[in-house]
Amino acid sequence: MMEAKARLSIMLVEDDPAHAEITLRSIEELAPERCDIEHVVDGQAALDRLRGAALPDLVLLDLRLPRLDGLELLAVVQGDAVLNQIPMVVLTTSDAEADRQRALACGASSYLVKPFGEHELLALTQMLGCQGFCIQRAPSA
Amino acid sequence: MVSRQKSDEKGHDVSNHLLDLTSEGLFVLDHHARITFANRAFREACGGALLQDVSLCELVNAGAREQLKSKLDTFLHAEGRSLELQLQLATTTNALELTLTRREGDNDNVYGRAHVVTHHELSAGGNGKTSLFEHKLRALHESELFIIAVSEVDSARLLDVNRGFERIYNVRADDVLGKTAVEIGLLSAEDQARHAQTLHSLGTRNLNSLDLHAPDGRPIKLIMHTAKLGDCEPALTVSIAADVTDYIAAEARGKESDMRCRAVFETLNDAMFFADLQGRFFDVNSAACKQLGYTRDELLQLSVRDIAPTPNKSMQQLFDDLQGTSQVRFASTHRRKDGVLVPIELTLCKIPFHGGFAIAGIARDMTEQRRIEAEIREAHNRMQAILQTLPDLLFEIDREGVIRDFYSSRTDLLTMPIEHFLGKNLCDLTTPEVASVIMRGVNEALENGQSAGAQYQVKGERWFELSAARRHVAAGQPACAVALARDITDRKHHEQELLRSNEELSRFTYTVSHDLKSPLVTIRSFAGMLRKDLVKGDSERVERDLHFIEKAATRMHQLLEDLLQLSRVGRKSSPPERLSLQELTREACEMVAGQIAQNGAHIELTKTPLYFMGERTRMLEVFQNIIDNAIKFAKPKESAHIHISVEPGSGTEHWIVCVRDQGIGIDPRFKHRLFGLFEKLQPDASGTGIGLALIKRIIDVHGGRVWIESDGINAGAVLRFTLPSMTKEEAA
Repeated sequence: MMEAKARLSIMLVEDDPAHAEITLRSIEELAPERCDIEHVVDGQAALDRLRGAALPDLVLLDLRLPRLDGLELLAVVQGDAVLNQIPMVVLTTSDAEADRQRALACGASSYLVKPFGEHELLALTQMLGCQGFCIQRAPSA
Repeated sequence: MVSRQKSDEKGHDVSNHLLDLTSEGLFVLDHHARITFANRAFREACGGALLQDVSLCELVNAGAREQLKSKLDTFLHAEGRSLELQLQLATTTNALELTLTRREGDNDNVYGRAHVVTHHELSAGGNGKTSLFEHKLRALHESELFIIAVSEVDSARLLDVNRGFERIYNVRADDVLGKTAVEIGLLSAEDQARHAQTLHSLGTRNLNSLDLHAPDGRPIKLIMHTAKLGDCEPALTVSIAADVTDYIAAEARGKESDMRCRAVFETLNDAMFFADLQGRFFDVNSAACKQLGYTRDELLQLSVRDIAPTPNKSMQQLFDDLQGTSQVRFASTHRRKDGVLVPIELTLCKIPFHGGFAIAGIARDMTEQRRIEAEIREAHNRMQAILQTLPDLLFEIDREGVIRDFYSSRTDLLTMPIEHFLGKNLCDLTTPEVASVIMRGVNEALENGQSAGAQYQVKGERWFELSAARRHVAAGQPACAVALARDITDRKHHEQELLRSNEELSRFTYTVSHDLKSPLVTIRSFAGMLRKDLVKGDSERVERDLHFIEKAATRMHQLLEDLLQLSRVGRKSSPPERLSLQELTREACEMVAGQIAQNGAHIELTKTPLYFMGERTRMLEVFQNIIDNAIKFAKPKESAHIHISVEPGSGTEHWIVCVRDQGIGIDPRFKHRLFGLFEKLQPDASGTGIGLALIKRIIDVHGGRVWIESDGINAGAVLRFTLPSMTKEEAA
């Protein structure tokens, strides 16, 4: 379980600019003041960042990525004694059970199917022990 | 002198005449026993022939000649004065009683007198000499074969017994003479009384079978004739008996033996018959009647030729065949009474019969055996046909791994001639891995009856699948399995192809489920946010939301177009045709002329005339995408340099088309993803990432191979592909 920190650092690994915007907007909705989000567009860039800078508290990871894809990144992270401490949450469009199993087997902490709602993201952050996330206002009808 | 001589001759004639007048036979022999003189009576007694110079020995039968000669020689060369002898003439029934004498001082001549004894005289014995009758009686009396006994009728006291009596009863005459037959245990008192009564009343008694016991207790069977003798007081009887104990026993044994033979004859399953040399049956058994469909009486009226449809040999010929051999056996045919032909195996042998010979035959009905033989033949032929159609290798292998037998119509699958591996151990013929797989299958079959499914590859080329079954062997034979090795090389290739195809399909499904859904997720999410932003009246956000929605829709359209293009590959839209590499590349360049001009790309086309079979539209797509990619991945702010050439290949890949660029190159870490569907190594590159996937698919469908080599980032890249139909020759 993660301990609550003043600001939460999140790495978003997503090659699709539209999907990145959707995720960023969702996080802003839940905790506008509490997150530092770093966005990278492929698995290899993510791995390079993870190895070169301070570890994020959470990685949100798409599976279909250029160069090193999501599953390959998961496998590398799982085999790394330092990196495998980071919760890795898969965000993907595939709801196939086989893909879910494969991702969990590669070390994913959780698996969210796009499009996901604010409630799902909130439940996820709470499950991972990330404090300070809440739904700012009631969703419009 | 003359008168004196005449007078002598006259005296000689007179004395000869006188000698002819006497009824006594007179003759003279020289010292060789040759007759030098014989008077009329002697000549007539000897059958009337002139006997001058005939040896006396020649008058008797050849059988008696030696004995007579010996007697005469002894007499002629000894001192004796006279010799009496009797001889039976060979030419007549007469016997002669001869008296030979020698005169004092005359050693050259022997003088003989002959008394002729006619057959009648011999029988009657009336002349005081020993008659023939007496001879017969003496012979009978002295014979040990017959019992002759004289006894008193009433008391049965024995007065005289012969040597036969002594031998047969095993007694000495002195011990029994004076005793009664009852006393020495030959008869009971009752039997004796009955015997005496019969003789008194009838005078004789004949017994064809008399059972009694010898004094030593042995049971004896006799045939006996007893006759009362004249009028004597006390009354006497003479008994003559022959011991028939052994004869009766032998006869009984013979009868038993006959009965046993008859029983065997009648219970034989095979037809048996006896026929004379004319082929007429004189005995047949029940099986013969059954086999031929006749009654016994009917068969005994028939001969061999009545039941032999094609008598290719006469009985005499068959009999001749039997000369010198105990039996002959051959296949033949019999015709039944109802006309049906029966195949038989005939065994014939020669047997003595009524002083000559006859033939005994055994005819074994071969119908069932012929049927079984035909079935076996049929089964064998069927098995041969089945084996001929099997595309497999069939081995017989024992537990030790020794190949005991082999069969296959596919000897082309063998890596060595059959004779090189028959009788050899698997371990000496193949690799330990292959031998181990085969022996596992064989041992499993020997344990459980059968095994199937073991696979092995020989010399890295052909694949085989093994099925084995335990073979039943005779007791004492080594356990053995029949192993069937099926060539599954093609299946294996198809399996590998299917595996590859399944993996590809799986990748395709994965890609499609992610990439096609992606724009929809975008549209759906931004539609929701658009609604919120409209409510908030945030026009800047509304504009941005709409931008993402439009872009997603465009991308969705492009993805679907690309998928459709990909799906068209392999669908036969036009027949393959002969294509020229030079023409195709020229045409492709014209189709991407816009990009070439925009980039200022320099393209060097090959001058090598290369031809191959392919679908024109698809192969144009290949070159279009290759040139398009090379331009797209040129170094930033540089024009693309593209060089298309032809290199010689190896093996079945005779020629290789080579497209070289000097672009941004490829990070070797991600080379494996190059040909994936919708894969982009550069996230910001234009297009969906269909290009290389499409190229690979088209080359695959044309049976070729495509690959990319690069020395790394900014080192440029070389795309190569080859097609099996590539040739440098001009039009076929």
